[in-house]
Amino acid sequence: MKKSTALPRQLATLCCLLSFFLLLNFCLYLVLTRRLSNNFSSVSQAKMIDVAAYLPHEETSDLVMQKTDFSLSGELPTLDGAAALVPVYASVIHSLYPEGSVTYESGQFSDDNYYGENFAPDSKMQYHNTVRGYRAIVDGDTDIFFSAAPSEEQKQYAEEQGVELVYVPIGLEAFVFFVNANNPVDSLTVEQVRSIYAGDYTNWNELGGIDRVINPVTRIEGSGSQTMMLAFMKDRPIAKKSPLAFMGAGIGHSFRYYMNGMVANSGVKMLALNGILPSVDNIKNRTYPVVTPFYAIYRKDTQNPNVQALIDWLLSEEGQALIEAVGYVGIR
Amino acid sequence: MNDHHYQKLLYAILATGVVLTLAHLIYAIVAYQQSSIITFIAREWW
Repeated sequence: MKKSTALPRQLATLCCLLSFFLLLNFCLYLVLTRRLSNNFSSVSQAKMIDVAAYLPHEETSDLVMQKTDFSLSGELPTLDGAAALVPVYASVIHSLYPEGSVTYESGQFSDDNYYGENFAPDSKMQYHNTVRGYRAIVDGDTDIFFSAAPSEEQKQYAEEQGVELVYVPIGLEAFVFFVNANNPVDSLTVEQVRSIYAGDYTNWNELGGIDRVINPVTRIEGSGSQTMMLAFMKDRPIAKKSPLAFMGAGIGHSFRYYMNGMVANSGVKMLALNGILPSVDNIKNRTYPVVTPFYAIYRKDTQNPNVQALIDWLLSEEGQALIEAVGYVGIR
Repeated sequence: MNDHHYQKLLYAILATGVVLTLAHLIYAIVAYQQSSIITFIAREWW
């Protein structure tokens, strides 16, 4: 008799325990793991970019071919840049450089590594992205670096190395904020966004949204987007968020073309700031509140005359047409 | 099932559950640090 009641109880306990762990892990999967892209996969590198789509002189590349009579002779500058500007400088190479100027380790392109590129050291195209790229231009590994403004640490590194960098604005870009496409909030004021990141607003219902915790997401220190974010905040420090904020509804920041043209994820939407959307027209006429230049950056002591020639071309009608054809807004 | 077998099974499930949950958590934390914030926000539960 004792045995017959003990067995069901034992089995029930074991089943409950098993169900508890299954449920716990399923919940963890739903709120967190399911949302994480595998950054090391060559296909889903939404954080970086699919470099294979922007390889010069490849038929399948999504690049602009700008017709021009301009040509360079002698030592061609090595171009490098931030992720968001790969389409710009890769299109420059595509339009101006001869075939064979982009070379790969092991002879052919492979994106089977963390940064999704395997350019050979002598390749005229490199892709270091912002954090490594500023180091590379200061160290003399590249000749022109395409990027947003540098962080304080990046400026300091150049100073420490005794290198003066020249920043030439070549185009305009909008710094944007985005939320999930299902979030009912479509527009915020600049001050509201600052207050979210400063920790003054912690729930979307304080901003006309639903009752859900705000998850203000930031980027890695030194990235173009995070440097811009710090400038956007002015003197207001970014608050530490609750460790459970990831279960709420997020707000993130990026640059317009990177979000719309390169990553293009239909699960998110850009917010209007002060009621103004970051459209090309609103960037051009600077009515969107956070318009910022992006730069072609070179070492002042460069010995390569083609560096200045190439930058002059970028500022010419043809160069600006290339930038606009890529999807950015020209500086002129 | 005698008590000895039952306890062995209980501890085995408990240990496996704890280890797998911890491993899941560690993976999630590492992947979160590496993940795209665009994808992370796009895949929110709504």
